[in-house]
Amino acid sequence: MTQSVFDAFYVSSSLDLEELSKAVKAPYHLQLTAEETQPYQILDTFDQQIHGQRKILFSQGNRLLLLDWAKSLSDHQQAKKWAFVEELNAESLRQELGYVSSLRALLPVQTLKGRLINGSLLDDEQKTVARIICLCFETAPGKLLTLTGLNKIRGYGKAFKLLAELFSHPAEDDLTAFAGTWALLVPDFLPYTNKPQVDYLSQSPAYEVASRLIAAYLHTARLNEEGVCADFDSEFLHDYRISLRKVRSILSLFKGVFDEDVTCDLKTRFSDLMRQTNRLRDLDVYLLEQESYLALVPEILRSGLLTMFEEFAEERDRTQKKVKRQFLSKNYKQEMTALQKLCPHTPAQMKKAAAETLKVGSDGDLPVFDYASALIWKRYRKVRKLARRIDAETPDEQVHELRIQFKKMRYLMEFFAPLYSAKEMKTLIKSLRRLQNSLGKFNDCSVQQEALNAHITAHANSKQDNDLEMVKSVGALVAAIHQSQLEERIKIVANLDSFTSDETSTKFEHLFHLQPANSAQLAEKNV
Amino acid sequence: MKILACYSNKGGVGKTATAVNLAHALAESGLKVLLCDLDPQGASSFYFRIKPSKKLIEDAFFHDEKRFVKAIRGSDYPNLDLLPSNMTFRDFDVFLSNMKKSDSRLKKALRAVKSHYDVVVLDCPPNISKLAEAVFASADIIAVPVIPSTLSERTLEQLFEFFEDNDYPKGKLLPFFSMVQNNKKLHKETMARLTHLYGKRLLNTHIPFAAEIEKMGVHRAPVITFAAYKPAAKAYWGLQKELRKRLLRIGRTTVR
Repeated sequence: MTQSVFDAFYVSSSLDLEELSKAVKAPYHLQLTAEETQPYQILDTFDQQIHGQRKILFSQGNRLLLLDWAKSLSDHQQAKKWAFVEELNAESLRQELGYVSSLRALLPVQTLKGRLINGSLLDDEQKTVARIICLCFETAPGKLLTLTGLNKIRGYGKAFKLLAELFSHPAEDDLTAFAGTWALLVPDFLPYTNKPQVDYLSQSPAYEVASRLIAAYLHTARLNEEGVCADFDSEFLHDYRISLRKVRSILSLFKGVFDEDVTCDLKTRFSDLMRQTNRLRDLDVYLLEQESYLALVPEILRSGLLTMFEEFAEERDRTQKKVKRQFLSKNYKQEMTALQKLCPHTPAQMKKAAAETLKVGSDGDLPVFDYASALIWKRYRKVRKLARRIDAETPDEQVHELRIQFKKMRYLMEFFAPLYSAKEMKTLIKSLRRLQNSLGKFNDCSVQQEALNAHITAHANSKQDNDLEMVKSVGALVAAIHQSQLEERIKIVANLDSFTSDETSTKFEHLFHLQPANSAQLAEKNV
Repeated sequence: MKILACYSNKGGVGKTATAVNLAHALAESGLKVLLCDLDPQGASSFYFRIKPSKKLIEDAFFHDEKRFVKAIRGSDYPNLDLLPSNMTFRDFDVFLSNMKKSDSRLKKALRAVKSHYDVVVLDCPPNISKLAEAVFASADIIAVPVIPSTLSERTLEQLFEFFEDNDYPKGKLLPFFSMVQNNKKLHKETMARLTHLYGKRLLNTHIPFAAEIEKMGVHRAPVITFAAYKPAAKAYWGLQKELRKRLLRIGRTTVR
């Protein structure tokens, strides 16, 4: 690895090296080593985590170059094939990219021709007194972009100053300079987020907000289809499913916004869509949990689990292919297009849809602020009532019911967050997180036990030795997961007090109940 | 920050070559290194193509912390800086003689860069003088190149005696064989005798007599940079490893 930490950084269109060399006056001269022009790829996760940190990762042959905007450029060798940060050879690069999710693959964002030029400013003793490193790219036919970093060498400030003076356009060290350069490097950049932002006013009709939210999440789901088919990483399917689940929640939680028959029909159609990918997501989760599952059972039982994971991996392969076939099928495409057409986005489409297809329900015309506040307040009271009934002795079913209602409440709060003070919402959501996590883990444990038990039943009558061994191991795993579930239950009960406390109640009441419709303007500022 | 001196009370034993290659190898190994060229002839500076310092003159080295820091130059290699010498360094003895507590003056001067470096390598002039005494007092380790010849044997003996007579800790002295010619019977015999005499005090690494080391003057660069696979380069790397271990054993060096 070589790393060059910049003392100055410049962005220019082209860089005439010959002219630059000529401009350097005695006793100094410039020695340049220019590499051949080669294809460079810019890599990033689908949700641009590297870009988000103002870094750019270039891949060229066996080499990876990481540009930390205006700060440094590091050069690493990567001989092996890789897709995830943890598969990188160079420890320093793994560390530098440590913030990138271990679940996300790095994919090519852009390919462009480029070359790297290394240079030294030498004095009359041939001593290096300053360094220069340039990355030149052809961003469009005949159009060049050059990123130049300069290094100061201790004790040679004067020489560095002379070199720096040859570059007249210093980069402004702000986001615009980075954003501007990025736009030149990746002209068709489409930022992706799994939390699409829908802007609306507090007086907007609930119908409008709901249909725009559905359109946005449907669009997000569709953006992930390609990644699911190509099987880049498991997050594509995860985001796809979350987006569809959000659509389904809007349909079931936003009561009275749409016509009842329409809602019913859409709910069925979205549920059908979700069902197609249920098994694949389950298998993804099992395989991602492999390490933690193995850690839960004694060493002697691990080989049995490995047999199960091999079976899961094979099944996952088949299931992924099946999902891919479904996604590419004519039926699927037609259904998705039909759904997208049904959920309008523009006002004109909306007017037409409201009258004809996605008909308005009885409450659809209510201002969204009033509608949302009433909905959340009602849901909160329901959850609180459930929560108050739960103690260490209550049957698990009630805890599950609490989880479901809690999740619905959280979804509502997320959908309508732009209507309320961002700061208050943030603290409120943060205060709910611990309970939410425990409820989630509690449920995961129970789903996992069920699935593993099903796996045991399926193999229970097998006469094969390794099946028997597996059944034994999985049994031990189920026991261990059951134990974790019990622990999680204790945590839930412990966290309930804070949820049902007067303090939390007051916060909910203040945000969702006491604010009169007129004071919605107050919240408007945050929209 | 640890202080590692390359010292010999006899000239022409490969002392500067050792200081240059050792400092470079320690820097390569990841330590932040400052090579201090205390020899007024400035051979270390020459090998790194660094010109003599113009402003660190007279006794500024010992008195003017700012100037001392400002005189430091980055080498062409990562982690390695150099404090170039100049002709006034030959008067160090005079300055030191006029100072109280002259023994601790060098260490005090180096304190200015304490936070910048893991190791300071001192390339010392070949005599027993006030400056040498300051080196003996300040250094954590003193690497002493010894040509396996009768004359060198005698100088090494004298050095140990001097330490004995003046109460400098002899444990700091780490002699090693330099410019070794294995085909010479005399070299072999001397090495066997000295190994018997000095035992564990002697470092294991032998620096061979090699053309590459001579060629450093042509390349004006450390051996590893132009002859990495030759025995001389490997020997300096081995010496670095051995001394690095000893420096760490002293315990206070921060290793990155």
